[in-house]
Amino acid sequence: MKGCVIGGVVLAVVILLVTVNAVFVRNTVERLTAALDALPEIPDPSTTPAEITALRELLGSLETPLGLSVSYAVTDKVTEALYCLEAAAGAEDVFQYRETLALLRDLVEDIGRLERIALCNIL
Amino acid sequence: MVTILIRTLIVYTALVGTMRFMGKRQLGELEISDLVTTLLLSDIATLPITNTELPLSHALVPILTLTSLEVVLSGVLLKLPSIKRLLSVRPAILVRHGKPDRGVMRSVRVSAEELLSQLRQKDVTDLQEVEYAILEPNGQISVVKKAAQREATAADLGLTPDERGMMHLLVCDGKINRLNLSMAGWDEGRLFRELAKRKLALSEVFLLLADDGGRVTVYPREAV
Repeated sequence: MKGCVIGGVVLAVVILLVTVNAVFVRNTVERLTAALDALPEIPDPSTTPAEITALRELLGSLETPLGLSVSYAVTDKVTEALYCLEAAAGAEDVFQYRETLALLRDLVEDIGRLERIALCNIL
Repeated sequence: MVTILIRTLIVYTALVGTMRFMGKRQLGELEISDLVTTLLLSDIATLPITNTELPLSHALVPILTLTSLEVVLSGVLLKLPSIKRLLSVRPAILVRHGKPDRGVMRSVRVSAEELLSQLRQKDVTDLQEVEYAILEPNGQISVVKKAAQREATAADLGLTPDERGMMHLLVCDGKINRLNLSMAGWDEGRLFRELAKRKLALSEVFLLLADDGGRVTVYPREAV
């Protein structure tokens, strides 16, 4: 019976940790999405690269806790896209900037994909 | 990870369900849920090892979930026999009073050839010798022979032999097994006295066994 109680406690702890992690990942995705939404539609070479650098640093600081459940391949793609976005903003390449921004929104969405309870994810 | 947790639960339920449907013949020595857990764990554990892109949690969460589920389930099943009946297979009586039960054999998909083969492995060559043959939940067939076919026991003969218990391996290859020594109720002093009686050094002993009745058997190294 003691083993059964321990098993129940372990199961409860696992569910709790998974839930806490899911909340953390979702919050992170919301923060990153909000930061991306705050970027201008047309880049300003004097301010936009600095905003993107701040966003990249934010992602860098969250990379370790995110790495507990998100594959580093996914976060690496976001970082790479942020570098491209920064370069496009600095070069005032609006087309490249918009394309990378759209790609980034999709990649950030991917970070939280496994934490969303959705039929498509489960199946 | 939420998805992984849900997936784990779904795969576990599906595997237990399908194994239950497959019946006890697929099980060998394990209960259904044991087998499912073993199958899943062996595969899951290798995932983050072979695929380094996967975080370790992708294996740890399912492993912890499965093992704790297994333990909780076994505890719950002890308390709730009605649920146990749903998840566990019950023993099936294949032969009753020397007569094979065709209906039961069909339902558990045991052919006459398989039954006879299993009986032969238990030194039974005639169905008439069998009082009961039972297919156990772990897939093994237990045989209860008819009284007339059973080997005569000391009790049948009205004898009361000394209770010898079981043999304990106290020395193996010149090394003392201290756990067995204490289980047999021996100490090293008694062991060395026993060796001195036989004019043997510890290093000269290949095996030294003692039963609960105090009978000691020694196999010296050179004799083996």
